[in-house]
Amino acid sequence: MGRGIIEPVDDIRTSNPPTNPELLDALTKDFVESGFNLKHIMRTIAHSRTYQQSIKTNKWNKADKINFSHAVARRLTAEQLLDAIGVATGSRPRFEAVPKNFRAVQLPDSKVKDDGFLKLFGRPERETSCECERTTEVSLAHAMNLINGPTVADALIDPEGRIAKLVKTGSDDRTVVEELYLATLSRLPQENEYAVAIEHLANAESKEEGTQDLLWALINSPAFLFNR
Amino acid sequence: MLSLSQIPGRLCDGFSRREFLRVGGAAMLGISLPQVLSLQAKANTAVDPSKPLNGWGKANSVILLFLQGGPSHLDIWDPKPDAPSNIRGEFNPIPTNVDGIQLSETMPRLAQQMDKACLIRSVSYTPAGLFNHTAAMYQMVTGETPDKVAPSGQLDPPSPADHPNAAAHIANFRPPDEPMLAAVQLPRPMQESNIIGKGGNAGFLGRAYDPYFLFQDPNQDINLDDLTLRPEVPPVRLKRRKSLLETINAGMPEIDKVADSYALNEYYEKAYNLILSQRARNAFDLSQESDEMRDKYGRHTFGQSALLARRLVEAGTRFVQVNWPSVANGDPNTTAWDTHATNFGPLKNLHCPKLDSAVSSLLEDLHQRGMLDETLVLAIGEFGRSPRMGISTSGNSNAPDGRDHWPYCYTGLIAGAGVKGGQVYGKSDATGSTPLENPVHPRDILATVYHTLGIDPHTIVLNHLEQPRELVKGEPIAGIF
Repeated sequence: MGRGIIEPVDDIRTSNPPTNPELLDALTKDFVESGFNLKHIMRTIAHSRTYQQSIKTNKWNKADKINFSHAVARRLTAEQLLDAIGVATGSRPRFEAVPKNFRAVQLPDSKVKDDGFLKLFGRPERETSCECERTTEVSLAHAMNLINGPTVADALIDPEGRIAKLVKTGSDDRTVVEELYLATLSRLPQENEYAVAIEHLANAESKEEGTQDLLWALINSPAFLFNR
Repeated sequence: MLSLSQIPGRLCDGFSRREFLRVGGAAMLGISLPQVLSLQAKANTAVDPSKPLNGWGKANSVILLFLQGGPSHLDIWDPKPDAPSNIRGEFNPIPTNVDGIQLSETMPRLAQQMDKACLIRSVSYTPAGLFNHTAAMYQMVTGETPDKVAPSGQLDPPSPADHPNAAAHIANFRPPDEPMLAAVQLPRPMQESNIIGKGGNAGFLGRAYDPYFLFQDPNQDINLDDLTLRPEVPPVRLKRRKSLLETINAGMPEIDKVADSYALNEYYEKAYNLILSQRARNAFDLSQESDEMRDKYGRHTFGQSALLARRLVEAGTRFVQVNWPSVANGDPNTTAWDTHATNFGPLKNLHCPKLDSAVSSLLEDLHQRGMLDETLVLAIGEFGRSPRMGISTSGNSNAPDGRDHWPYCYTGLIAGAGVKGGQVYGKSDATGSTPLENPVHPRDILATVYHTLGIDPHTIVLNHLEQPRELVKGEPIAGIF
């Protein structure tokens, strides 16, 4: 949810109290009673109404940042983002010295090299023991990388990737749009979104180019870049 | 209201603290703020001929060589050959190409460029936070003391409530004339142990004013892929993609609001311009420089960073901050300025040759290109080092020949943009411990930076709580022009 009941989560001391001590106590008790079952506590949290709230705010909770009254959008972490691009494009990132199809979140440490994407997007270098070393900021360099950098661009034109396959199977425009929305935003497009996308495909130089453009746009949209 | 017409010429928006107060007074006379601002707009064009310009508006760009770690002023810029041996250290002074100015023997090449630069030997302040590095660095680049200092002397990590650094204010008030990066910071962030990049960003001004961080080593090949147009995506196709993306985003307004809070749309807009113009790409491409030029600056991270700074300024970047590439870690074999453990050997053999080649080449190169008159160059750390060796001023332990942090009196180099070369401004005492004449606070150095760029240092901006804040509470150093 982007914020601990104690924040930072690893800074536990009297002068840094929890924002909701009753909630923390209840979760602690539940966790202990479950026999320290991690799956259980994750399920409890994920099923809660609080966890499932939308990012929409109203005039009463707009200013709230600490009481979990609404979801707070967070940029995907470096590894999540790289994996998400891999899933969306059907072109898995390749890392040195680990088995093929290894995902970024599975990498054992920051010494495993990629094309620089992970460092740019804030994977910790592990120079310190502090979780604060990880960043999920957004900056100009990130925008440039997503717009024009090799990670997204190479994945879009990967001959083994999703687009190459879609074009090869000769799917109709509506199916293409549907698949790309599902692969990026995990939802079906709305009717007006179908219309915008199909029009773009129709006006593109080639079906392949049009499909690449659409997937590029979806990957670059905040709906994809942010956990919300 | 006549007083408004006497405000010296301004190149920027915003209004100064004094004007702000006048606006308050004017309101009582029934003159509204828009009226005042329109009067002010008229005043903008009129430069008062009775006031000497003193470097006002002379600079188009600023290069800050930020020597994080705190270089020893006695062993570089302010030798004290007559001080006792536990102060003067192991180095001898050498003459420079300016009569009466000596440098330490560690800076032989800078000695030949001394006619182009001014040494401020009376930089002096008392930082918050037991003079740990981060609090001092924050003071240097933002002009403010940090709000909160932990008992250990350490600061919190960077926060959106931080005071903006100079780069951010400059990006705000003097954006580049070309589609170019307003401010660039390289080749690594400012850092002390866990706290990385404190004071290095736009703080309450908003992320869109953050400098561009090129945290790569320019002495290796810089990766320019992100800035280089790809063959399969020519400009016309990139523009089509951009408009498709904007249409898709417009259909999801709640999520677009999220993008706003991260300034995502501003970043995308700037990124398109940069990629399409290819100007930044070319500026970053050091292979366009001759081997001779690259050798001269020095084939090391700092030297090549200084050369890159010159290329960026040439392409229109307003503010380049080159951070010293190594940070304090107690290892005398790295080139960190934080010489608690051992001072002289590393300075002579590791650190100073790099500083010397970079600073001297930058001054000479800017001069030869006719750029020094419009480029302000600064080389300074967050503090100097204790004149007496082997004592502890910061709570750190020091070797017998180590020097500890010393913010009370040290030296900064400033050159270009109307600053008179070949001079020493201010004077330190016989041991370099305290200023004897013209003490200069780091705030005054920042005020000088704004002044040379034609930005009134007292200009008011609103912080994240809508409170008025001056860019910096300091005064330009009039005596150096």
